[in-house]
Amino acid sequence: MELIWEGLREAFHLIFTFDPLVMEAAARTFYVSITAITIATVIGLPAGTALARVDFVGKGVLVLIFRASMAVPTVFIGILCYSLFSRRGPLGPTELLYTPWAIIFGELLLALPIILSFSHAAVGALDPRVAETARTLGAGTLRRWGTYTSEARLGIMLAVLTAFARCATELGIAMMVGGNIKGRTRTLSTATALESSQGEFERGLAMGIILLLMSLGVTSLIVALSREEKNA
Amino acid sequence: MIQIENLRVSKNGSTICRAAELSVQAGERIGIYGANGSGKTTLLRVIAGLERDFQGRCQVTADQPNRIYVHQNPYLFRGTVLRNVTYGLRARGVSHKTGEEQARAWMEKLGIAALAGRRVNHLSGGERRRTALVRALVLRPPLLLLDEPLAEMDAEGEAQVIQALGELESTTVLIASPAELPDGLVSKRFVIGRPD
Repeated sequence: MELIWEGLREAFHLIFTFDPLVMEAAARTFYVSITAITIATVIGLPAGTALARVDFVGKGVLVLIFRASMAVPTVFIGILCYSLFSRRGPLGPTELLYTPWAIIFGELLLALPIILSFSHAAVGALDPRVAETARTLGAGTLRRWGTYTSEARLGIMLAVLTAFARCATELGIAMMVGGNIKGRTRTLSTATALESSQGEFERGLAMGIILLLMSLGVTSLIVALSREEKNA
Repeated sequence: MIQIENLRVSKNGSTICRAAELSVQAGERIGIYGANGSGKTTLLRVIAGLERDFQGRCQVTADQPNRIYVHQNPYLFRGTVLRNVTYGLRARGVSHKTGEEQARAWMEKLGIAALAGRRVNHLSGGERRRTALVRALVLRPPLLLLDEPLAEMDAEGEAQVIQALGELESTTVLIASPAELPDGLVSKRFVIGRPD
C-alpha cells in the first residue's frame, strides 16, 4: 500500500512539475490519436451515413464486418500494420515503420470501424420523418446528409469520443509499429509499459494517471454532451 | 394538378387505402374526410411521393421539391423555431437576410413571431404544428399537402391558420374533420371510405 501512495505522490509531482518525458509522451499521444480520429471521422462519418441511408446488396454483411472489426485486438492490428510497413511489406518503401505515421495508420484502422458502426447506428435510428421532412422541404443530398448528422449528433459525438479513448489508451499498435523510441514514437501507453518493466514504478504510474485523467475527461465530456442534448 | 384513378395501397397483404377517382385542378383547395383507418394519410403520402408502392394511377404535375407535405405529427429539426422555418428557404438558396424577413412575416401571420428564438423542444403541441406549417407556407409551394393541420390548436391558432390557408394561392389538399373547416375554405370535399 505504501508503494502505491509513494507512487501516486511521485506521479502527481511529475505531472505538476511538467516532467519533460511525461509531457512529451502525453503530447505525442494527443497528436497521434487526434490525427487518426480526424482522418477516421472524415472517412467514417459519410460512410456510416451512407450505410444507414442507402440500400444495396451485401449491406448487411458489410455492417456485420465493421461491427466485428470493433472487437479486433490492437496487437493484431499492430502485427498487420507491421507486416504492411516492414521492409518486405507492400508499404515498406514508404519507410514509415517506427514513425508516428505508422501509429496513426494503425489507430486509423482501430478507430474507423468504431466511428463507422456508431454513425451507422445513430443515423439509422433517426425518426423516418427526418428524411421525409428534409426531402419534402427540398433539401438536396448534401443538405439532407448534413441534417442527418446534425439530428444524430449525440450518437456521432459518442462515436468520436469512444474512438479517441480507445486510440489514446491502446498499447499494441504503438508498441508494434512505433517501437517506443524515446523522443520519436513514445506514447503514454508504451511509456507506462516501459517504465513499469524497468522498475520506474512512479513514472509508470504518472503516465497511467494521465491516461486515466484523459479517460475521465472523455467520459465527463460524454456525460455533459448527453445532458446538453436533453436540454437542446 | 392531381389525377388519381383506381388507387390501391396494400401492406402485408391487406389493403390500407383505396381511392377510385380524384381530380384536383391547379389552385383548388380540397378537404379529405373519412373515418379512422380509412387511408387518408396514406392517400396524402402517395400524392406527396413518399409512398411509392401502390397500384393504379397517381399523376401529379408538381415535381418533388414543389409539393410540400406536412406530417400529422410534424418533425421539427433541432435548434430554434426560426432555424426550422428557414430550412426550406436555405435549401432553395435564398439569402440569409431575405429568408429571415420572409420567415418572420409568415411567423407574424400565424402568431408565432415571439417564438423565433425558442428551442423547439420547449414548444407546445399547437406551437410545434404552427411552426411546421409556417416552414411549409413560407415556401409558397405550388402543391401543399397538410395532414390534420388544425389538430391540437387553440381557437386563436385555428383562426390564424384558416386565414393563412385562405390567402394562399397554392393547390392545397388537407385532411381535417368537416367540423374543423369553415364553409368556403375548401372548394371540394373528398370522402374516402374504408378500404376493406
